[in-house]
Amino acid sequence: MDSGEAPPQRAVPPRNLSRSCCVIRSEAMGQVPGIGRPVDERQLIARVLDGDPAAERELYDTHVDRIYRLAYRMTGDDDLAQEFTQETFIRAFDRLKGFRGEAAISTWLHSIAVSVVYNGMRKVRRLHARHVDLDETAGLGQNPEGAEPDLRERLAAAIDELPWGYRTVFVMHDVEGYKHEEIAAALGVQTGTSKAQLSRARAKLREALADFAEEWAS
Amino acid sequence: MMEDRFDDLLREAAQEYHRPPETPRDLMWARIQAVRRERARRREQLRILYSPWTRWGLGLAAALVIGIGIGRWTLREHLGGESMAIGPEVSGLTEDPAGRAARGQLAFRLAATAHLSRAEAFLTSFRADPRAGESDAEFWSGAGELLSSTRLLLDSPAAEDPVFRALLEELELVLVQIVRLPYERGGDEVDLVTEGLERRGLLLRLRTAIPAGPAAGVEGVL
Repeated sequence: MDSGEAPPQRAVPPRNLSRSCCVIRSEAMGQVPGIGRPVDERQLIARVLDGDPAAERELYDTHVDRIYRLAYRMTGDDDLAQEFTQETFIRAFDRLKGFRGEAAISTWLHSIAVSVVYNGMRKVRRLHARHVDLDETAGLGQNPEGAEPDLRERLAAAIDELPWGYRTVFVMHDVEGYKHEEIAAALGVQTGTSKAQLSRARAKLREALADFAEEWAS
Repeated sequence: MMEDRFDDLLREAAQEYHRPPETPRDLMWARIQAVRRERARRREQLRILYSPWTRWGLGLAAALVIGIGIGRWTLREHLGGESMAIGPEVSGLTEDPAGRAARGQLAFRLAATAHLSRAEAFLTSFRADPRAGESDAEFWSGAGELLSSTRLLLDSPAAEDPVFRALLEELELVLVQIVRLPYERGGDEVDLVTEGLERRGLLLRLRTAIPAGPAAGVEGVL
């Protein structure tokens, strides 16, 4: 995944995480509502596979916030974020039998989510490309008030312009606070690749905001 | 040093990038459950459709219909122009060779109709939710069987009718695309298949080709 445009790998449990991470801990995987203690992930999965609806909801509640937040950050659209989050969990429940437990289920869920968002956004971009009105595109990129947009607006535009791989790593690490190990596992790449992608993403953002950086430095 | 500080500033500013609202947990859960229920229902329908009993039943019914049809046809040939009291429909049929050939084809068409009904049910289910069968081995084996049957029919006298042959060829093309889906990457291929399905109007043509009611089309043979 050296190129920023490379698609995410298939949602397979990565091998580089030990079995010790198969216990959900509140600081890493999110607190289970109403329980407040570590949950044995294997037991929970076994209950889900046995068809226990309460276990399904528990699994969903444990992970939905992070998946939804990531989907929203990547799409910037509530409807799309909801759709992608739903599809992630639908696929996860469908394929749970194939989950081998070699990695944390949150890692596995994130790999599905990244794949769903990537494919979903490709489709959205294709549809937009078909329907964008030429008159509207002529007005894009112009500030109607003639004022210099502030850092946040320019940064948002610059992040949107990043290639998919760079943007995913930047959003996951710098915005949502994921660790490189988690990002690498979710994207199916090496940790070093995740670090390199982040470094390049930051460099591209600095480059895009160079004039602002100079002004800020002075 | 200055670069690091600017990176910190960027990171801080980036917290506002597409800041998510509160997670609509219950709303999404309700939708997830609804979709899963619907997919489970459809899977069950397909399971019944492709169960060994259904396959045997359809096969036996088709064999029976074809056997009776061929039997009556050859009996008529044997008896020459003698009149047979086997029913008003048969005794009313013309004796010219073209008519006899048409009746021969009809037996194959009956088997083909049963096949088209299965294909129509399968494609309707696929179109409603193209990704429902992604992780379902039975779904893919069902598609493969339909493809094999379609090819067999293409080689049978049923395909001598040019309109019917064109329909079977279109069906074969779509089924080939569906059977290949597990080997394709990305979600575009599914869209291509569903778009192709719409463009060809295949489902509508299949429904048009299937006579209404279980006994339709049988009168001329039995």
